[in-house]
Amino acid sequence: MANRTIIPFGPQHPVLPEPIHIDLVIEDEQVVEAIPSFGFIHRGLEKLAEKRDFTEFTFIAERICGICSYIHGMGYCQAIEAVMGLQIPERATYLRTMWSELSRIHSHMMWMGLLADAFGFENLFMACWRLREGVLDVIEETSGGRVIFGAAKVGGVRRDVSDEVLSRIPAQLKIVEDQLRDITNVFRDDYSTRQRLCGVGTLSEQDAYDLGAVGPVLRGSGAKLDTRMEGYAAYDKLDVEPIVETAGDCWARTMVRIREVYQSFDLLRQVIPMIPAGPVDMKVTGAPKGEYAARLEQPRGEVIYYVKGNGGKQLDRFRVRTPTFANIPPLLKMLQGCQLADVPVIVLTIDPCISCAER
Amino acid sequence: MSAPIQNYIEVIPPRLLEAVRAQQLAGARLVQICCTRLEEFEILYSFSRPGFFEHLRIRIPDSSVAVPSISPIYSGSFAYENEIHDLFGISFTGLNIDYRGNFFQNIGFCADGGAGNENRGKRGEIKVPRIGSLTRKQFQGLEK
Repeated sequence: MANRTIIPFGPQHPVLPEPIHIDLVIEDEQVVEAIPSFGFIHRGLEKLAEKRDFTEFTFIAERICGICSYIHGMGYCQAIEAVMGLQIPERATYLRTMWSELSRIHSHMMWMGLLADAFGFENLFMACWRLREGVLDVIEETSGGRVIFGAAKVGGVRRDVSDEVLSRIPAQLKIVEDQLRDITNVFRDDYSTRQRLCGVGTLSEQDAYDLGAVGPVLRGSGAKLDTRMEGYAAYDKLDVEPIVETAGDCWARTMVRIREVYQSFDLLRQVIPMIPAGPVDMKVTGAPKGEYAARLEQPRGEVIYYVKGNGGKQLDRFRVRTPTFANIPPLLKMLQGCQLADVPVIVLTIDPCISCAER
Repeated sequence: MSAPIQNYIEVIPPRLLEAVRAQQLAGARLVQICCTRLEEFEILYSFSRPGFFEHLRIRIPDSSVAVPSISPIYSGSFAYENEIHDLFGISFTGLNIDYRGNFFQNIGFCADGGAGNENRGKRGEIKVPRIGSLTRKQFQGLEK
C-alpha cells in the first residue's frame, strides 16, 4: 500500500481568490479523499437581516459577494416582492434581466482569466481580464458601479437607463464579443489547455444530480437544468435554452461557461430592444408577512433566497443557499482519484465564491 | 415555462425520512436545507423536480432534540446538516460525514455559544485537531 499523506490546501493558496481549506488525503500523487472546512470569512449576514429594515437590507444583500452582487440584490428583492404580492413595473423587470446578463458575462470572463492563471497561462489570463473591462464599462455606464451595481430595490430598480445609452450597448458589446472569439479558440483548441482540462475532474450526470450540483457544474455533466427557464424577471419573454456539455470534465465546464457568455450576448441583443417605456419602481407600503423561496440563476448556478416575514420591518429569517455551497459535495467527488497537480484546476472549475458560500 | 407553485408540507420528525424517500423516488433534487430559529426550530427541506418546488418542514422544540439525517438518502445533504449543526447547535443522527462542529471554523459567536462546544475553547479556539472526527479516525488509522 502506498504511503498516505495529508496535504493542506488553502486557506491561502495562489489559485484561491478567497479562503477555503481542504485537507487532501493523498496516496503518492493521487488524492483519495478531500475534507473541506469553511468559516474564515463568515460574516453572519443572514442574522443581520433580522436586525435591519427589510428595504435597507437590499444594500447588504448586494454585498454578499463582490462578483454576482447584482443578482444577490435582485434575488432578495424578488423574494420580498413575492411575499408582499408586488407586481413591479415591466421596465424594471427588463432592466433587471439586462443587468443579470451583464453580471454573468463579467463573472464568466473573470473566471476564464482565473482558470488560465491556474494552469499557468498568464497571457491568456491578462487577455481575458483586459476584455472584461469592456463589459465593466457598460455596467458602469448603466448602473454607476463597476462591481457593486447598487441598482436593486424592493419594488423595481433604483436607477433608470436612458434610451440613448441603451442604444449604444449592443455595439459596445459587439466589440467585446468579436475579440472574445480569439480567446475562445485558445480555450477550445490549444494543446496545453486541453492537456490540463480534458478528462480531469470528471463528474457523471447521475452523480452531479444526486449530489445537488448546480449551474455549469451540473450542465457540464449533461443535465439540462437552468433556472432562467422558469421565466423570472423578463426571461419568459426571451429565448433561453440551457447550455449543456456531456463530458463532465473540467473542459466541459469551461465550455459551458464560454458558451454561456455568447448566450448572454445573444440575450442582451434580444432584451435591450424590448425594454418598454415606463416607470422603473413603485411605492412599497406595508411589510412582508409570509414566506417565499426565490430561485435565480447566478453565473455559478442556481441560488435560493428564502425569506420569512412576520408583518414587521425586520425579517424572521433570510437565508441564501449559494451555488458554491451546493457545489461543494460534487467538488469532493471530483477530487477523489485525481492527481495532486490537478487539484487547483478542479477546484477552480466550480468557480468557488467563498464569500457567497459563507455569507 | 413559468415558476412552479411552492408547496410547504408539515412533517413530524419521525416521518421525515419517509417523506424524503418519497421525494427521491419521485426524482426530486435536494435544493437546500434551511433552519429558522423562532420560539422553536423549523427545518425546511426544499426539493425540486420539473414543475414542482416543494418544501418539507419539521419543527423541533429546542436544539437538544436530535434530527434524523437525510444523508443516507441524499448524500450531498451532509454539507447543509453540518452547517446547521455549527450555526444552530442542532445534532443530526446517522450523518454520513460528521464534522462534529468543525465544518465552519472560527465560529465562536453562533447559537448557544457555538455548536460543537465539546470541541471548542473560547471564541472558536479549536481544542482538537482542526479537521472533523471522521478524519481524525482516518488519521489514527494512517498512523498505525
